[in-house]
Amino acid sequence: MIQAGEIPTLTRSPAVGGSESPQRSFNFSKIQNLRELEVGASWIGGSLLWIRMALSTIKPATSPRLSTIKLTFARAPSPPRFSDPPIEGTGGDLQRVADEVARIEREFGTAVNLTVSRDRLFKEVLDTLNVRFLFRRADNLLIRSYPCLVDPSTLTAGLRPPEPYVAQEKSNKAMPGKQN
Amino acid sequence: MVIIPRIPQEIIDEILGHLATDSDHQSLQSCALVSKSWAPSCRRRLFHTIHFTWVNMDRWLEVFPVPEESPANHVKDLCFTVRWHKSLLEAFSKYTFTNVESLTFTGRWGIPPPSLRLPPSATSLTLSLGSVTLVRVRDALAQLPNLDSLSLSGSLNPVGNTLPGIGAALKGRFGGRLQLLKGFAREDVMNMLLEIPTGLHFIEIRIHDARQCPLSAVRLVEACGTTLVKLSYTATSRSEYRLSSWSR
Repeated sequence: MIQAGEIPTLTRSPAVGGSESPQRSFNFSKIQNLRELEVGASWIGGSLLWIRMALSTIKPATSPRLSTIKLTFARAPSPPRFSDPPIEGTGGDLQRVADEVARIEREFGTAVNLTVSRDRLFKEVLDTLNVRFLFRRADNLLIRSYPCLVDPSTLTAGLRPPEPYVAQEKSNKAMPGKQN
Repeated sequence: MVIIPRIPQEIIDEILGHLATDSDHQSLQSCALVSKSWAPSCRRRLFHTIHFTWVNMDRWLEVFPVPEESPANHVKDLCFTVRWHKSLLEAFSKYTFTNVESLTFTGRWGIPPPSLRLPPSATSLTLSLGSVTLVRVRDALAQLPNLDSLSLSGSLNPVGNTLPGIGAALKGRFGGRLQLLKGFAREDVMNMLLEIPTGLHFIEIRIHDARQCPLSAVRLVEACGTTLVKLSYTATSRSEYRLSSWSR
């Protein structure tokens, strides 16, 4: 039980190993009547451990009324005078977020409407990190825009298989006469 | 002699309600001139939502010089985007918006002056302002005893912040919906609001820190306990963080 003055839900990051920086996040097991949850992050670098930690506290036993979870990932826009920076330290976090999303989906089944989306600016990051599973629930439009992000085996029967997007792009770049 | 059947008032209200839903103000204005029995229903709908700017505020004072005869009592949704000055404040203070439910102040200079009496009937307050102090926010909150929805956004001026904080003005009587956006989604504000969470059922926070989750936000959400039904938490990277990390 939390006493007055005590810091609730303060844990250390297992992912950062020896780092002394404390990480804290929401503990949804204490909010038992939560029905709708929206979490969004728009960032360019650093850890997203807090999202993974928050998601790890969502369990059917402690959140029996939860019906909607919406996760949104975006890349913060870049000012024009700076070139796009590399996104550092997000790969492991994203993979763990993906694992938590998979767990929630598995444990809640159809009881929860789970949506994960991301904006266009985020595409390059995902290409680099090859985190496909996280966004397999993206809507048809996004899947068609960036079919290279989608593992065909995860597509449902209602969706069209991805078109050869990457191959076309490569063939355009390799047009004869352009290199001279 | 042709007798025109009398249409029940409920039917008239229903028809006028459809015009209001379609935002057909032109037709509502025409209907207001049909008869005395149509006028009150039309006025109620025409003046349901008023957004005052410095231009139309002067016009309001011109058209309705007698406060008691103005349609101020019909206004439910009231928004101000004005730069308050003494003469405007004096003229406008005579109007009493007794039935206002939703109250909004926006704009860089739109901070409600301390002498402006806010309608106590308001249940929703939105402040989207530039450079406002917490003292001013606290004074505004203290005038609204029936508040169940509060949205604070804009930039917060650290000058003039004093105790007791804004949570004290809401303690024990506020429940419902809380939005903290932009400059108001900060540790000190959320710490002040820790006094009020009982009864909050919807919290929305948009904070400029994607790298970590502030302890005050965690405590605010967890303090709501079983009353919280919806949580929306959005985190974005700070611009200065972006710039410093890119320039390395």
